[in-house]
Amino acid sequence: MPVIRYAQIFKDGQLIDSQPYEVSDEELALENADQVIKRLSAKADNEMTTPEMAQFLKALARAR
Amino acid sequence: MLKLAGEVIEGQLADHLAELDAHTRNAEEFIKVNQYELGGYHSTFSTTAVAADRIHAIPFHVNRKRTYQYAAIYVTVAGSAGKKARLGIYADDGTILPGALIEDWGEVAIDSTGLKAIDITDRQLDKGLYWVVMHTEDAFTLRIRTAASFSPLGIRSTGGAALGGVEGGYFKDTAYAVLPDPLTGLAALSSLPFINIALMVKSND
Repeated sequence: MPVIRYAQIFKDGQLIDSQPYEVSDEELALENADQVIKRLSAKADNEMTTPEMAQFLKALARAR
Repeated sequence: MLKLAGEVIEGQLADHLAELDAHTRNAEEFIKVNQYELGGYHSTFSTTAVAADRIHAIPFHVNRKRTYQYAAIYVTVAGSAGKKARLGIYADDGTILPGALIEDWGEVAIDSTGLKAIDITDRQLDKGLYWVVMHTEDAFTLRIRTAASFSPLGIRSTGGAALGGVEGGYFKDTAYAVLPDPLTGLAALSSLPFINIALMVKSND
């Protein structure tokens, strides 16, 4: 289900406005994939479990 | 009445001379207002992680005089709490390098995901090449173009990727601070793509 987020508008370093916009399921999936890639990239090779490797590969395929 | 060397110019030639954009017409002259643009050099979109304390300088071509409302990036994986990135714009120095600082637009928060914009109300830019920049206070991930089909920097000429892709911009590793003027000591960003620093069009002038 799409979610509503808010674009943050800054001026002189201060948040002055927040404007709503919709994020689709597809976009959310892409964001989640990025987060998985970042989290698992930080792990040492010998610490990665087989499910995590699968998760990593799927996230890569989705994000690239 | 249009005159050239004292002679009145009429007909198709007069129409042609009166059309200021006659020799510059291209699709990117006409961009819908209240939409963001990336200064040409389009490609497929993706995301990439950027390092802390690095200035990215990305070419931004203005195809006609325009007025802009916002400058923005899109964070897909947030940095640490309280961290920021600074955006700004430089003139080209005439050698396809950033030169004098035009404006330091200030900071956006990068400690949450989503679109982060700075109000740059009524920043007018003449037609020409500029450099939009982002200085990072922390590592985070944001939207990019993966491999534009054209870049004013040309294509890569050395290394394993020689003749295999366009140069995406310049970078400089330096402690997070206000933007320097001028911006010097840059290195080519050979293997990295175009960071999406977008400007919202307020009017095509």
